[in-house]
Amino acid sequence: MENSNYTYINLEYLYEVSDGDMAFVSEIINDYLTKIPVQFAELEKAIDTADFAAAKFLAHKMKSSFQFMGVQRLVECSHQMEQTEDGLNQVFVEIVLTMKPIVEAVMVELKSKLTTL
Amino acid sequence: MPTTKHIDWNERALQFLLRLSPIKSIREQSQMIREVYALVEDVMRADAVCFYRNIDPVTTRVVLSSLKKVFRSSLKPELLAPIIKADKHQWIDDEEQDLFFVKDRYEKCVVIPLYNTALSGGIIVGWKQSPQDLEGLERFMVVVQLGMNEMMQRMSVYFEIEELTTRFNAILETIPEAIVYVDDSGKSTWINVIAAELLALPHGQNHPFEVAQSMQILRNRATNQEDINKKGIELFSKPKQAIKDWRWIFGDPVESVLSIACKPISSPNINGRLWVFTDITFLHLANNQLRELNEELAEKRNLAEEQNRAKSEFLANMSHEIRTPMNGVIGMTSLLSNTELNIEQTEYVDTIRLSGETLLSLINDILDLSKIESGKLEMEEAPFGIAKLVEETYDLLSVRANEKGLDLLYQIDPNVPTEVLGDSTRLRQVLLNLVSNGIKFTPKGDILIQAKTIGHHEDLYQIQFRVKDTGIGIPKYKHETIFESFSQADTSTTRRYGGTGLGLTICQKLVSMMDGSIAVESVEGQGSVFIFDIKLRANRAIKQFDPKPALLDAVLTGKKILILDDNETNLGILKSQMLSWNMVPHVFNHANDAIQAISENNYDLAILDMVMEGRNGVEVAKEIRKRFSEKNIPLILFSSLSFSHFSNKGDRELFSAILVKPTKHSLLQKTLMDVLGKKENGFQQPVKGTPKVQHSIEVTGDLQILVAEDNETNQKLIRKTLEKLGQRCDLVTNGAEAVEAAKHKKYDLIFMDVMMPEMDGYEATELIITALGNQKPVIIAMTANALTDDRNKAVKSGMDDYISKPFRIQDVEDKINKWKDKIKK
Repeated sequence: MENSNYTYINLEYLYEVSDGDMAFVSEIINDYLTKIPVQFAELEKAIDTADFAAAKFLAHKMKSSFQFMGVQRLVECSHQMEQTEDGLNQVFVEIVLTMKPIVEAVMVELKSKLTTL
Repeated sequence: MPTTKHIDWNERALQFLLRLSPIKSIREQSQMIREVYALVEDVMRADAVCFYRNIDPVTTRVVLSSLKKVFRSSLKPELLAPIIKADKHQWIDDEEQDLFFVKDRYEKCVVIPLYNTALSGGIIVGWKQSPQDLEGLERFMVVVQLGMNEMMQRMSVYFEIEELTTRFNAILETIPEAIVYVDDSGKSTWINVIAAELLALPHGQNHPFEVAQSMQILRNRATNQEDINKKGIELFSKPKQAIKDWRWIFGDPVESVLSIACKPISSPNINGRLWVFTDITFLHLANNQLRELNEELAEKRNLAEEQNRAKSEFLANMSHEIRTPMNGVIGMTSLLSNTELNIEQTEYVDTIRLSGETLLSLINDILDLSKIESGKLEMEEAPFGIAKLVEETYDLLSVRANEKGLDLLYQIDPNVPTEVLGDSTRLRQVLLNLVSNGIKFTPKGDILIQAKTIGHHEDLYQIQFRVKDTGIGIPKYKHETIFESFSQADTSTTRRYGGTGLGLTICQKLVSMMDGSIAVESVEGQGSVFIFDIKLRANRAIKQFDPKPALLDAVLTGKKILILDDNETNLGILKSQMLSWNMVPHVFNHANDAIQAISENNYDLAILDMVMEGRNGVEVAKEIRKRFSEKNIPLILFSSLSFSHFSNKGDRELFSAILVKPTKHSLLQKTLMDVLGKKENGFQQPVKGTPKVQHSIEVTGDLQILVAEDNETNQKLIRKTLEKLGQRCDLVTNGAEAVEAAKHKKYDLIFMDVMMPEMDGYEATELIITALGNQKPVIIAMTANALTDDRNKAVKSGMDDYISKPFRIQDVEDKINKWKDKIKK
């Protein structure tokens, strides 16, 4: 199982879809490495400016990426954010604080994975 | 002594009847008896006459006698019975005379019984010399007996009438109602004392006309003539009908009210009408007052509801109005803190941010409390899992806990239902508050949430939650007041630890709304336990999706596992969890003991906690690998978030898996199964270039597929998936583009993402349906949520089906096959 070497990411799905095409796997991982940090920064900014609609939209968008990457904890956090009532700023902040180190760890693991391909 | 020798008994009989006639009009009983006695004595010319009465079954007395000391004063009724019970006169023989006479004896003696229930008794007559013409005498005695019995009966009737009259007079003069009885013949009308006062007439018998006139005068004085006339017409048009509560109201303002009832009375010979006048002034006024009070109350209730509504709107508006600028302040300070600032400025910005966050927290709590107290908070009822809720709570607080090095632990008793119906948001709010407080006031150690069932009736369970910390504790004198608003344990606590002082108040109110109660047990310096119990219904609709027992049996059952953690609580929880999975756990809180155990046992797996006093988990793992390499024990590390990065890559490779605390039990179970499963079966990494799955495509020919997805990476994944299924697709990035594309090209199938910028998938679907009608392609929603609401929303907007992300190739193939018939058409 892919998870054996990594704490967070599980690229089993990616392997299935790629059907052995490692170049495709590399392309997708590179996409995540490029886009996730940007989207996450936008999410943080949305919460800072109390734009909850934007925050929830971003959470939903990133959720599918987290799902494809097999990062269950981030999927749960994103889902929780989508379900949080607008205005509960503290909760949004708590969720983002929870997500941030995991996102960073995921980026590290993806980079590590990329080096093995 | 008078002689009866020459008496003409026929003539005597006639005389008796004539002289009896006036006696019949005497009403007084004793006088009547005396007159009859005298008549009999005179007419019968007897030597001895007495009148006896049967007082009771054992007492018979002579009440009148012509001669003293001749008759026995007391007669024995048991001896007389045969004689007395006869319904005609009885001649007494010599022996029997002894029953009646003291010593005298008479040639002829007769007892004439009077059989009347009111006056049981008789007359005894004795002749010294037997009268002549006994036949005539016999006839005479028959006449006497008949006459006397008729008279006694009349007397009895008079007596009964007197009794009834006395009784009814007593009743009618005592009751507070005015009573009027009117005889239909018009001959007699009777009124009681109260009626006499009311109608200004004499009490008792009155002329019917006068009574009728007085009643009319009284009625005309009433102020509610319209109502009176209405009911009066009803009464007089149906004279045989009874009428109740006919109200006559007097005075303006009301001085008195009469309620009149009228009932026709009928017997075989007498017809009449009974009127009853009841003074209900007090009742009427009380009713009016009550009605006015009710109207006033309704008005006030409407006003209160209106004010409540205004308050709710105010709360809602204020909530938004207050939060928005506060979020602005906090957000801007956050942005400001990311700019270049000197040390002094950084300090100022941090202070502003902290103050803002504190103020926002206070505002949130106050608004929450206001909402609860105004009764505007409605509890929801939806299914949720308690274990999942606890895990979510910990997810939100894990960072803060990890910063302080605190363990977040939980233990759910097996007797707690897997899924319950209730308001998960509010329960989470309570747990968040309590755990947050625990983290705040605990410098080291752990926070433990326990849940167990303490009672249940059918599917309603009483579940007790305990939130225990190893913190600073609460002084005993504060235990009762700590749930009051703005009452922290100590004012210095507020200064040192912060907080609004409303969190526990809110907890108490929320728990109360969930039909429960909350209390605290605490010892200063040793920590606190907040205990609350609530009532929840078990969700009977839940279907278990746990790993099948066969799989559990195969992988976990009987496996020997070593657990090393210096936190005793966590050890206890893990041990009981392992036992529930039929594993054989050995627990140790010191590395040396664990190492010793490994040397003596063969373990299938070992779990090591990272943060321990003395040697940490990595160091212990290294020693295990060094000393027991041949045992090849798979190791799992329990790490806190801050230790997820290893300085040395080799350190990571010591472990088969690393779990970040707080660890969900379901994840722990899955990890154990994975690790133990791999140990048994090995793992095959997919070989590069080797196709892993074969798919059969039932749909022949190329399909025209459109994919609407704004996420570029997802687009690539979907396209790749379809390529594997031998299909090509067109791509658009939002709903508006999807609509345009669908209008210009005939597609068989659209995979539509539901959440896109500019126009979402739901709106795009509706527009496609409007444009193309029955010619529209099959539209399948792609959603990252698999919730019922999202599915329903997709169907409602007109989509044909949905698929959840991340979808596998098989999922896509299944969907295409499902809709192939429609697509072929």
